[in-house]
Amino acid sequence: MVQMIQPEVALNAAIFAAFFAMISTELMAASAIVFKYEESTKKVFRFLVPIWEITGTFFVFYAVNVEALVPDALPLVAYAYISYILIFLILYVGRNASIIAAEYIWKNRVVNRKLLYTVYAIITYILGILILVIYTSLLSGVGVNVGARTFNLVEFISFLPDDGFIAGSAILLFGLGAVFYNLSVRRYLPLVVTGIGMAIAGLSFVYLGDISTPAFIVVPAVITLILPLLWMFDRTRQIVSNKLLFQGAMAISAFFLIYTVYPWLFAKTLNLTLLLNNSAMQTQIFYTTIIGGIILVALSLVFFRIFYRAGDSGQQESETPAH
Amino acid sequence: MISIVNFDRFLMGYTLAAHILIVTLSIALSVMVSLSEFLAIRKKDVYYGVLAKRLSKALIIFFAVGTASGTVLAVELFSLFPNFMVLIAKVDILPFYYEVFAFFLETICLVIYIYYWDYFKNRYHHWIFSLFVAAGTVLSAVFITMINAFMNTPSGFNIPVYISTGVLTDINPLAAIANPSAFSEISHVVTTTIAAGSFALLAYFAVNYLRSRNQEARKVYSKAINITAIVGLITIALAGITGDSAMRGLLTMQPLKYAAIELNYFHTMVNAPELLGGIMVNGHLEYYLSIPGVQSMLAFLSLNSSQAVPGLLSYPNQPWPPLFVHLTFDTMVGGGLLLGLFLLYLIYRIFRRKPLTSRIMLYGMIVSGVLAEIVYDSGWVTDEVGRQPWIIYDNVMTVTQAANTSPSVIPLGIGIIIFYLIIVPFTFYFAARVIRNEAVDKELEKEKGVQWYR
Repeated sequence: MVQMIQPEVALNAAIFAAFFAMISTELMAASAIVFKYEESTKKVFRFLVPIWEITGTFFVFYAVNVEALVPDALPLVAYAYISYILIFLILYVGRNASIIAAEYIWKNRVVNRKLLYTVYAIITYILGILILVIYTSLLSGVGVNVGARTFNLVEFISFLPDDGFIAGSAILLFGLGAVFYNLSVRRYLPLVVTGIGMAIAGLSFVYLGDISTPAFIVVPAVITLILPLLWMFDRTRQIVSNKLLFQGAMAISAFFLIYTVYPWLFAKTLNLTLLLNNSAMQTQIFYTTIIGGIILVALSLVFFRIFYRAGDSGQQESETPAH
Repeated sequence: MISIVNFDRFLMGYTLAAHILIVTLSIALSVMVSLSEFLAIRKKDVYYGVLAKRLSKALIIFFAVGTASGTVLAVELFSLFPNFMVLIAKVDILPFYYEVFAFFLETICLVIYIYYWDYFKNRYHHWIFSLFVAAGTVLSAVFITMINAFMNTPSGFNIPVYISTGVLTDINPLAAIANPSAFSEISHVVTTTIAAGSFALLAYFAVNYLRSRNQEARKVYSKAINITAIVGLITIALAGITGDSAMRGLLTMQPLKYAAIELNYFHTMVNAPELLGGIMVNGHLEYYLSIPGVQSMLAFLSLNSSQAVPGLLSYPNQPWPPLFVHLTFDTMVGGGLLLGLFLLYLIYRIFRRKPLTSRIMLYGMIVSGVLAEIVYDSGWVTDEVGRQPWIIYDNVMTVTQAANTSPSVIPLGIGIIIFYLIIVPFTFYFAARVIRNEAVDKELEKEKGVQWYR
């Protein structure tokens, strides 16, 4: 039976899905930068360089929405994950500093553009892992002591599904990176890699112990596999290489993945709906999200219109800003 | 040994101070970029065109690091002061939420503005994006200040019930936004922020003018100095007016804070003097200059008001804020006055068509740039320390009640402090280096080659 999702939680899941779609483009870019730097300068940077600032904004959007959605969960998160949060913050500043330095660095023997982009890529990997560690522990509950508000990393990584979900997700995104950025690799390779990642992450997800609507897993599984499959054929390759369409598909996958576990956290020990904010605030947040969301969609459409038209007219092909 | 609560407090203050340094420049740059490009288009002036492009490079660098340091603060609020954020999330999180959309406006428009500079055939279409960037930047400051205003004058919930039971009732998020000090605080913060950033830019232009031997480069910096001085004068005049209004607001809304800021070591007083300087030594006031009647005159805008100003001794049972806030307040007001007078003189010279580029003027600008940052930071210290020990005034929540007391904060907090010591100076160095990376002559040639100038 399908659990009906509350509107405010649905909005939160949609915001997370949008954030995931954005951060996944960076994680895919990080793989491309590390393993195929020269090709990245032509195919990845054209998209990454204008978009990375927007990813950061989506992170803030999601974080504030969580604060507004479940305020009573904040002390638990603040105490249990404080070390990881502070490491995340240091790396987040490092991420922004390294990529902006890579964009504008002058000719220098010691520090060059490639080095700075590689630093950015490595930091982005670590940030991705930190986010996954926190999220996976929220799902499995392993390593988290809710009463004492502590998190034990050793206990967490000793639970195989936790590791499997993180490793599988990383492999999956590695495979999808070639599709999203249309990299020069063998046609079948993204499908094989994504398939392996999907199998590991999917199985691990089932064993994390939170699933309340198993049928929904089909949606992310099918979407994730269909993208590299369509990429194999010349006729359909252009369709899945479309950035907007790809990101939309990723967002839908993430949304349904969240829906499968709704309304539970910590392996069905904590009901999310019991932590929701007061109705006066929820109402205001709901209206603000709708109005703000419309503005955001309009701004995004303007951006993508210019992005595509500038691409058609041959602008923004280089790795450096326009001026 | 420092307590974890005090470490939380220090870490927050430290990262906030670093963020403020970057953000004042970001906000001022967003205004100056927009103004420069407008003048470039309107006057078909390549010098303003070069200026707009140069400043836009600095803007995106400061924006990149500023957004990260802003995110650090946002996350620190809930990780270092979780109980504070629980209350905020239930009563007054809307400004944070509004800020996200202002942030989106700023980010997406800045990305379009910077990375697609040559895409627009009609230059006004390009310039419009700079307006949105400036609007987004200023709105972000407006919304975040709303939260600070709530901390000073909370509203939108039943405060007596909360103080006695700890239960939040009668929550009205819109009333929390429209709290009593919101308007005066927002107007003061926005104007002072642009003013402080303008002075910092003025100092930067003065340094570069002095260092440059190229006449074309000097022309660019000279024009930059002129428009920055005008923006600075307008904003610092408004800062003075709004600051005066905010100070008078304290009389009724935060009388204890007012008494501490004015160092009023009495119960109440009619025709109270204004103290310049002064510290408490063994329960006595020392080292001050007293100007009779001036405090009451400024407080009530009357030469012989019968109203009394509040004094510290009216609050013997409450913890007073640290009294050094009087000195930071004096620094803010005195320094602000000096800056205003200096700018007034610069504008007088502009109207008399005299150059602003004599050595004495340029050195004055450099000194004023440093002074402006001291003045601006003194203002924030006065506001924040003046509210202590409350994180939410008055009796709603203390910093101690709000803080995260996990020992894990300390080692990683030290990591953040060290990292900031590297990253903040690096940002300033890097932005300055990027701006002057290309020779002005070359940039002017490029700019003259652009079709729309003809």
